[in-house]
Amino acid sequence: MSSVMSREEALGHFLEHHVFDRWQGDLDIISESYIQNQDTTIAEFVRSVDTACKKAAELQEAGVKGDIQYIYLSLLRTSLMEHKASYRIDIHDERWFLDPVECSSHWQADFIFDPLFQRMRELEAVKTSYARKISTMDIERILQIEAIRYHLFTIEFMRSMIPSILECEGYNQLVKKPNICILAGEYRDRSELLYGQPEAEPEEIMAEQ
Amino acid sequence: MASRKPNQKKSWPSSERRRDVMDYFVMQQDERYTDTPVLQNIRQKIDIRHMNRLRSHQIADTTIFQVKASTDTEYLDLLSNQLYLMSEKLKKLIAMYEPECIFKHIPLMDQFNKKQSLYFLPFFEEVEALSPSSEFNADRSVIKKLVLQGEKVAKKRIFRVQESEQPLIIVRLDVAESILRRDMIGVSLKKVLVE
Repeated sequence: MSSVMSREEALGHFLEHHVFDRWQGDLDIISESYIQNQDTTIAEFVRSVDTACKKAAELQEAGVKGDIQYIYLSLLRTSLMEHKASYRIDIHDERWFLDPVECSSHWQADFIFDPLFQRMRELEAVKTSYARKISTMDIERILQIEAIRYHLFTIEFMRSMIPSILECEGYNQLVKKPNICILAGEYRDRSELLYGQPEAEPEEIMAEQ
Repeated sequence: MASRKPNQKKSWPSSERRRDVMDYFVMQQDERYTDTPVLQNIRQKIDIRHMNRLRSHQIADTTIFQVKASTDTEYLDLLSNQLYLMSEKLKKLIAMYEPECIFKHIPLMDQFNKKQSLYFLPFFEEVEALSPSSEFNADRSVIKKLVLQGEKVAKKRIFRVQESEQPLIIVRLDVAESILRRDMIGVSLKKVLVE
């Protein structure tokens, strides 16, 4: 690129020509990789949830964890920094984030995020034609922004996995609240309900407003 | 991936305790940014003997610094090479997690380019957190290998390692995740070993 471009112009050009809309091409790669490894992919996911549930059941037996009300699946952006797509599975009783007994396991959503990591590696080569106006740090920031789409695909995958979670051994060992919820989102942040009822009854919600 | 599977299964009971200690990160300025504002006359303006939480009241609420900068200088969200300074955006986030944190106003003035940017000097809780497995250099002024004691840091979201002469700020996983979600510039988060 010409050196008369300002940094902002260079970044705009870079985003437009090498980043925006490129995720669409990754959809095919993701679905193909899913179809090819469907059984392993599902088994690995269910095993991770199962591990966390079994651990929680042990903690319940030891009397340190109450009845389980939340299973929270969250993306770890700190793992994206290392080009890994680690999801953390946390099991909480009714105290949710205030539940002091940590109980978690990890699952890698590699089959969804690998094409993104690959794209980011390719951008490293592309950036050299921008006369040092685009840096590795810019690409790292782009990765965190682009990750949200892949995170949404992952949430949809998790939603489709709900029946398998409900059948797994660990889940059935848990002592659960009747209104147990399974949620997916970012770590201790905004989340989507995948299964179950929100804790408050409609009347209570109305009363609060 | 295939090699990890059996390993993960086998190591589950022993890794149980480690897994349940939340991850912690050293938060500092990303060293790869080379053109950042350079503060002038720090020693004359701030007495470094007061650079801790107990004596922070001795430091004025606002101290203006002149900086050397070019037109391309980047005002990162975290500047930690000279003083440990946070942008307003980062300060707001940190204050949400640590409402007790004390902040001093530090406006940076670039007279040459006629530019002013507001930064904050934070005073975090200090925790004697180093594990005996940490390693120092000969006169113990530099920590060569940082290992934290899980028990000491449990439930702490943000703190300063007391044993370090230089500000060594540690944030817990939830704070680190929050920072990454907000597209901060120049904040480096490096995972720390916890025992």
